Amino acid sequence: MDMLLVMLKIGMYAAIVIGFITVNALFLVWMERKVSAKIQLRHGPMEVGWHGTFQTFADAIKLFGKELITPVNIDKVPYLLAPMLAMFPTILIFLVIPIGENLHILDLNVGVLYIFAFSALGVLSIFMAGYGSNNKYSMLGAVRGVAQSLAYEIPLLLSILGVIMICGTLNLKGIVMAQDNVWFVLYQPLAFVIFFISTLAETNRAPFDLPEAESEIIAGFHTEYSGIRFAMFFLSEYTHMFIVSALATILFLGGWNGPFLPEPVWFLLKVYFLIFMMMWIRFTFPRIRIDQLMTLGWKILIPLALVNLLVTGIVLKL
Amino acid sequence: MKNLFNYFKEILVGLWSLITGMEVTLRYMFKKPVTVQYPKEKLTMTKNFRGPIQFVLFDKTGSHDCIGCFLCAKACPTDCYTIEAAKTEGGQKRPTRFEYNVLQCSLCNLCVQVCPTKTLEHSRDYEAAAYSPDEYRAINFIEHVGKRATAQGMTSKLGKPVVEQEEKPAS
Repeated sequence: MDMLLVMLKIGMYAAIVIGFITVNALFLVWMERKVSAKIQLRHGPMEVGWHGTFQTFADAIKLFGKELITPVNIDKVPYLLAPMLAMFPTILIFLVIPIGENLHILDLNVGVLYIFAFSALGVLSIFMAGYGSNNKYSMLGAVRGVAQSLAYEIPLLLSILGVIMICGTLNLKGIVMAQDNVWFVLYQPLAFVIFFISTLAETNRAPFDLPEAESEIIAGFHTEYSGIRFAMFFLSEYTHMFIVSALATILFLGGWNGPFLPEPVWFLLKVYFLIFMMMWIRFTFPRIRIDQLMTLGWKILIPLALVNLLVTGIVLKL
Repeated sequence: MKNLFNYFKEILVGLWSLITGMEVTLRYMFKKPVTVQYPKEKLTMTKNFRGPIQFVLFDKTGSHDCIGCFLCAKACPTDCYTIEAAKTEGGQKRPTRFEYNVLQCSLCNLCVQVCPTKTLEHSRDYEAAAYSPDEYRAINFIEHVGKRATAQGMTSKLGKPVVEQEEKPAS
């Protein structure tokens, strides 16, 4: 009986998480198209539903109906495993994100560590996809993805260390509770900027979308994928956007804290504002070159993050 | 020391330029879209838009004022007019047949300039279409296009050939 209850609970959680991931991705694709359209003085999707609200549903249905093309000379195991592996960490990360004070599935003491450990797995799926596809462009995209991920993982982690030092816990709930009065973005503005830029690179968003730079290397690591396998990569990219924005909200923007409105509403408002920022940046800046990317990562972000860490440490000690 | 100063200066200047760019895109976001939802909304062409040639509809007579002088046919560099004219009972010369071949017309405006009674003009129609050259040629551009003509009850003759077009003289 207990076993059954546990199974039911797990099934419910899985349904909630996967449902939320799907709806979130569909909404984000619509939002991205609308934001880009507004910036470029266009209308964007207008036909399916009110202002094209159901356009992405139609697109998704079409995508699921597409043929799954498997190239001949691929490395079968990594090729077929990569789309699943792209999805898997994003689902796991969702378990620990606290949307309200009691609205979370898991309350881990090492929530931050857990999230970073699993989000670092994302690049493995990119490399497996590129390596398994046996395609020059895929390989180039995968190699770029790995280099980029290596370069930006360090400033990402260094920038959150300041926050961790201030509140002294790795528990996501604890971090949010510590920001009851003042959001950490006021204590750590530089860290927030570094964190935000690094997450853009980590999620392969423009202007750091070198692994899938469509004007240079077709679609990068997912060139050879079609149908639902491609949809998996797409889904994981948009879910990743949500996750890093949620993390930025938790670490810097006070999580669910806010007056008047209920907690989840505040949380989601902040998250979608950050996602809007990402889209705004995407349609403002052109893609940067790989050497510029490396310069930015190694020569600017890492030293700045270290300086920030040093100053934080000194101030905390005083 | 100077290098260090330059390092930070470069970062700040770069960041500022990024913010300037983002401000521009934000401003554009709140502008009205320039795209027109075509079949639902339509643009009106400007006055100097050169569409296919049509007759001017004079409000005074309720008709055109072609006097069959053949000047347009003579001026036409691509030879797209076929005109026949005869005197009516009132002694006024009017065209009995006025054919205009759109597929030959280069929209050069010469016939409009040369017309002594100012009865030819470019229409502002931009969406005439047909499935074959014959069908397209059969559209009576001279009479149908332009909102003014339809308002007067002269309907479009899309698809109907203009082989022997009887022109009614103004009464």
